[in-house]
Amino acid sequence: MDQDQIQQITDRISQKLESKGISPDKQSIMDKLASYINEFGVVAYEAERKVLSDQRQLYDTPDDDPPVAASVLEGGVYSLADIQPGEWVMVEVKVVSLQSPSSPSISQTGIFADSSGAVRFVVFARTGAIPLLELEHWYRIESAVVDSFRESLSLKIHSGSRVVPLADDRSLMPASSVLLRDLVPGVAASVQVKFVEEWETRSDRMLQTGLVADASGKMKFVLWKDEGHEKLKLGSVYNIFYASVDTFGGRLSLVLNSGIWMEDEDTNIPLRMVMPAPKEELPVTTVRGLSAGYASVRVKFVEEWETRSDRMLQTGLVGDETGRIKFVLWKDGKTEKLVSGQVYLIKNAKVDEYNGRLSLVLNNAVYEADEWEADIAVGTAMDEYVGAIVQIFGGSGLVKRCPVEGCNRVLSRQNFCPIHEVQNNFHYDLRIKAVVDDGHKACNVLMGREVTEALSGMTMNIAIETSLEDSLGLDVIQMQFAEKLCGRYVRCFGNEFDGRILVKSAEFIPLDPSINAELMNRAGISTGGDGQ
Amino acid sequence: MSDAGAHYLSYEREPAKRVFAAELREVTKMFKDVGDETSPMYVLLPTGERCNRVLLVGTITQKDKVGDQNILYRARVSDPTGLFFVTAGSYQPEAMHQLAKIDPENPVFVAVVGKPNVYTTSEGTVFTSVRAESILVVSQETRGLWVQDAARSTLDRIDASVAENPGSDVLLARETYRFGPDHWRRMVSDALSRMMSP
Repeated sequence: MDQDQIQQITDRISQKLESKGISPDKQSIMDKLASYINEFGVVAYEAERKVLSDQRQLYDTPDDDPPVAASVLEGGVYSLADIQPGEWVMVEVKVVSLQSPSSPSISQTGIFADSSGAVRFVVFARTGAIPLLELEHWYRIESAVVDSFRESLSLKIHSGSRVVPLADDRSLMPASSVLLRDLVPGVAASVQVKFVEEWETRSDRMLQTGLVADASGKMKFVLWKDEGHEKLKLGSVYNIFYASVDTFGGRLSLVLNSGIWMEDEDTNIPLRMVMPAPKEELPVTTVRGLSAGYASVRVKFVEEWETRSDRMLQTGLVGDETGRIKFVLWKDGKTEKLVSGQVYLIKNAKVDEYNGRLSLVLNNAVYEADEWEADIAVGTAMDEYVGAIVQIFGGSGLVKRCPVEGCNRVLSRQNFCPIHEVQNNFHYDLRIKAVVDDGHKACNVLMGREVTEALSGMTMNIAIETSLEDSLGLDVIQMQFAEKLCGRYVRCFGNEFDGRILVKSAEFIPLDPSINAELMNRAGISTGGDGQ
Repeated sequence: MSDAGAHYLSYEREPAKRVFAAELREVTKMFKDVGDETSPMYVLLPTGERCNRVLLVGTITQKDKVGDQNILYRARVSDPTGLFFVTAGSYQPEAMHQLAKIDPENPVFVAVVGKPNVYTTSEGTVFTSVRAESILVVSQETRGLWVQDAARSTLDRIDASVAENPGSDVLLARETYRFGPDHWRRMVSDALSRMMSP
């Protein structure tokens, strides 16, 4: 902006101040305007408002224009299906589930439902006049706040909310069932599914886990041990109401404990069609190019995993230059185990899709070992991901890992490993879990210690020292990473695995001012003009 | 339309669109996907794309704290084209803590990731704000990169809006908004020219 315009604004501000009997420092006003407008790219009208308001504060004179009051939105009674994060709403709901609160600052938590849907709710402690909510009762909730945590909605009832018990015993018609494919984190008001696969539980607190399916796909479910819940029967169809939909690493799973379910003996739901095995031998494709169905691949057996079921012969990872994929070999009396490190040509393997992730089932495939010396540099073909870091996830920064051999899980605050319990001989690790977003697609990325140290400029030893000296402990590192990295533009090289990009190297993108001219040409307007 | 209703069993995060303040300010329409009850709420950008999240970088010029029990921070953030109204309340604790630490008395650049919202005030004025998920101080270099990024994204949207067989979002934007492609090209051009002149 040219000097004349800044001079004009300076004059306007000065006149306003002079009309109050103040003789302002015009040079200082002009310098401030120039800084805001030219250096900081603030639009002229906002710079004018800001500098005038600062001057008024400086000379302690009141503002003539009172600030615009925030309008409170009045929307009548909302349907649960229509609430959006950040809104203050009034709803009429039935308590369909109550759970024990996880924190002393919460007095009650559970699930509300109306005929349109269901949502988790939280009643904060010390809310005084809020009555204790009872299961199966209807309430009108006024001024509850719709919150969103990790993309999942909940209704917060705080001291400013009002809760009115509704005397009429209206019946609740549950919302019609939703396909598994359409579920989002939060509460699944109603699904109709078949229990198709039972898995061994990996924790003492778990009663049952496995897969349920409907016509749209499959989803993992978990049933934790608690009173009043019995196991589901494999192969049966269930109508499940008000199960929680949790998300972990971008994967959804159903947690049944909050819900109720009924076996539906009259229904057999059509599951997703299974593609018939091809008769022809399929040409070899890359691991990255795989999609559900059948395919042939040339891969190296790179990692063997412990089998989680008696029926499983072997499982682990195979890979080629473009990526890695999980494989499964079921016990069938005729297949043989793969040999670690060996390259195989696998023809017509079934490619399963579950939760958007692919795996290879080798049982009916034909596989043969390639020449003994054959080798593949697995996962070396890297992709480039360019974008801005828009979120640093919890669990980034300095973490403690379980020292038990082969475990390496991240420990909770009390040095607790979900499998090996308290482990005080942990070792440290440094990592970043973040979202890199190019404006079209948001990618979850995981950076290990080396990449993290290079990008953050903080070594692990410094991170350990810093965390030991800071009252926030480990959290301080995550906070510093967020402050340093969020909003920054990066270029990452890595491979996608399991819905997440494992970053092998990353760098900040430097500013190239010549791009402005290119973009200007593209905009196709020859003179800049002044839009203000 | 590329990201319309892209729901898979694995949850797909909504990308953060790069939008200049002057464009976001014109937004009046919010909608959900028809026939998809679980659809998130989108605002319709005048250049013809749906948007559930934005990334913006600008200079913070004011911060106000309102309420005592349920604290809400409001901030004004200016880019070269206009003003963003940014909020962070106790239900966005991370953003609230970050904003609480920022002192707007001296100008600094901030990067904001958040959800756009359209409100109608009691006087009937339509007003767009961004509920922050994060708000952090960034360097002048990052601001420069964002202006280029927003310029490029906006030009991409303009190009798509004048292409043959436009998508339904483009058609809806044409019905809804008063300004056409030339207006938005001029906005981009103005923003860039302010980056180029000293």
